[in-house]
Amino acid sequence: MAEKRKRSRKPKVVGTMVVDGKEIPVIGWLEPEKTRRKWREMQREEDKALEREWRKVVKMMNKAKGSLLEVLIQQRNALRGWSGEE
Amino acid sequence: MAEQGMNWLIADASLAMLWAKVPGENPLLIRRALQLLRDIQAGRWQVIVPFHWSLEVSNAFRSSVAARRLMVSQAQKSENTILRFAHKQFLFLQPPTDWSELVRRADAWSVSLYDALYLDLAARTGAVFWTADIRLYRQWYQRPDLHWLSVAWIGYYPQTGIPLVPP
Repeated sequence: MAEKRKRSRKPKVVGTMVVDGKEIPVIGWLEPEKTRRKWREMQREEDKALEREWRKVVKMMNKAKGSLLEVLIQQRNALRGWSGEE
Repeated sequence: MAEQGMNWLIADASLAMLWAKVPGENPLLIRRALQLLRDIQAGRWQVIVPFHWSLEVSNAFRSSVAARRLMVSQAQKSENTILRFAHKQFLFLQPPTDWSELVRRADAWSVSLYDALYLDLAARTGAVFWTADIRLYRQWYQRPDLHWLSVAWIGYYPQTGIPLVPP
């Protein structure tokens, strides 16, 4: 049988709570302000990563040079073809 | 039918709004759309769009400006970038279906004529139609008789399967 692993430090019990009629020890409470800060920090990191990624794809898109007028002329020709076909 | 051996997809104007990272768009969807755009840039996908795509994109930018989500200069810059890129990379198709047939299809499928153009293109080419338009996706999802058309939700990219529950 495997030897039971010994804890280096006992968890600190900060209180108790009742679950299914039994009182169980609680080893730590959630700190709302700390949690919110952590969440905001993660959100900021995600936003930064998204911004970086977006800059990369825009840089790639900007490589396509040309006149927007060409696009519009192509559109006009496509529209003219609409009634001509079939 | 689309050329064999190539991966074709159809993109609608709602994806262009995510590519432009218009404020107020869902970051998860933006991330997926950028992933798709990177794959397009890497040549993994060839994109087909109907002829009116540019007009729809321009209108979406116009609406964003009207809703004060973008400044005019930003909208113009993004619009130019996207349209130029699309002009170089995408294949703009004229509708192969005649007008009255398209109207009949839009009625039968209970979608707008604009959306019918995309669905008709998907039906004709067999390509996957990617959209970020939740209203259109749900409309398609609620019609099992239309599930033979490959319609995919950008939030699930690159998965194209039909989910048990719609987004």
